[in-house]
Amino acid sequence: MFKEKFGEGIISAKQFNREDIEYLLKKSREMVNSTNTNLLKGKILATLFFEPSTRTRLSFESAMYRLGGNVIGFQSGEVSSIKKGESLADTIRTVENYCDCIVIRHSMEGAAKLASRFSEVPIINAGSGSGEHPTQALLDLLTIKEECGKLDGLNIGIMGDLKYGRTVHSLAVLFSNFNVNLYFISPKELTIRNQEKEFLIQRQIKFKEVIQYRSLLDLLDVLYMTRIQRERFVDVEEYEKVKNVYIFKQEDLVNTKNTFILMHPLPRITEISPDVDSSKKAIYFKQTSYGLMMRKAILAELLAD
Amino acid sequence: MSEDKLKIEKIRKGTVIDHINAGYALTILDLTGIAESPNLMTIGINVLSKKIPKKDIIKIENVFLNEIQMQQISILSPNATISLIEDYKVIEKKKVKIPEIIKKLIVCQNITCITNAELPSGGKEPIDTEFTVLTEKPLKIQCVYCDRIYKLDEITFISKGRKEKKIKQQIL
Ligand SMILES: [Zn+2]
Repeated sequence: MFKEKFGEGIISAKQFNREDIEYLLKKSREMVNSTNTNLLKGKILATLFFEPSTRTRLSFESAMYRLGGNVIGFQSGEVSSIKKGESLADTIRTVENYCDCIVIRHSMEGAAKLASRFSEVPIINAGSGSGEHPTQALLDLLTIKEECGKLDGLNIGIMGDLKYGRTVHSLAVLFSNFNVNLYFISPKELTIRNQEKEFLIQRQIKFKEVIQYRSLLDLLDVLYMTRIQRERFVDVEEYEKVKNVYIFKQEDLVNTKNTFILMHPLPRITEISPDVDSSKKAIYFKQTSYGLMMRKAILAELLAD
Repeated sequence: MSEDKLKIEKIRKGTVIDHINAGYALTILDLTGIAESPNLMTIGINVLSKKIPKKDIIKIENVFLNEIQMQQISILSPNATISLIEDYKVIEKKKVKIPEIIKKLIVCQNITCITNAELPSGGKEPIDTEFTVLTEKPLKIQCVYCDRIYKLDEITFISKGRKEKKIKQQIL
């Protein structure tokens, strides 16, 4: 059922309804105790990282190996044919012959969508420019579900670069399947894009846009922080103006609920001060392990016979 | 015969584009390339009409529109009607219709959209631009690749000579 619906792969968070998300959350949980290390034996995953990444790529590769599969691929800097000017469409039409699934990260929006149009094997979007990053958003939902015990009824703050942050875009779309209150916290230069706002309005999801986060700390169940990414800015001065606009410190935790959790897709720069790390409310390192569970579940669902 | 019909000359053979949103006639002529035609054209701007407060109307001798031009008109003036004329008679009359998906017609202006990727070889990816129509009135379209949403006055047409034509510059 999942395999049929997601035959072209996972390109956008918009493909998911509530049932699909809950199904993947359940399957991810099953992965923790799974002893089946041969599920994807003989299968090959290709990881095409046109933009550098360590975490996401290693997470996918580890998930594939743990399920008994193999991995081929490259990351930016290693790719000779692309430097010679080959189109993405041609790369995909070549690589699809070598593998059962392609994970792609690219600096341009819509790259994964394009890949899915030229590929017979499923495409997984591991980040396309400042567009989307649906598997990160899925693992974030898994994290919240496991740590908070539920998704409905939560007050969720999403803070930082909401304009260029691709995870934020996928996350907002996924949350629209649940009954949550969203607080978008950002400097006015980096507010959430119109396309996400329109999507949320159309789905009648309650959200507020604010600049300051401190007054929200006592009501939030989750604060999701993101990095302000220098590479997305055309204007360096703009970046300098906003780069240190939010720094979450240990004293910020004082006003938060006992059950509050602080999340971050990592890597972080200065936005969470290291003295927060030791709090049990800081769960950003745990997010990584949920990531592995989610990616195992995704690969198993898309690829197992 | 209503007043506005009297004011604009009848044509023997060709096309009448009627019920154009007031002020859009010149834009339509330019963006569809009809303006470059050597044939006789009569244009009515701000014509009083019963249906809509004011409208524009274009009559062109000996010219019949192609599918692309009809789609362009549907985007600029969703209420427009197209009549084909032979021997001073209307032989066919149709309302323009905005397609659900607009292909090859509009440029995505997001420079980091994959449809705008410039390959080191100088070429582009072998894909056409594609937009989903979210709402017709007011018009809102969304790029299938990068998801960016455009309103009518933000749309840029791809034109034959590869020179892009912006709607905004045309409408004052
Ligand atoms: Zn686009």
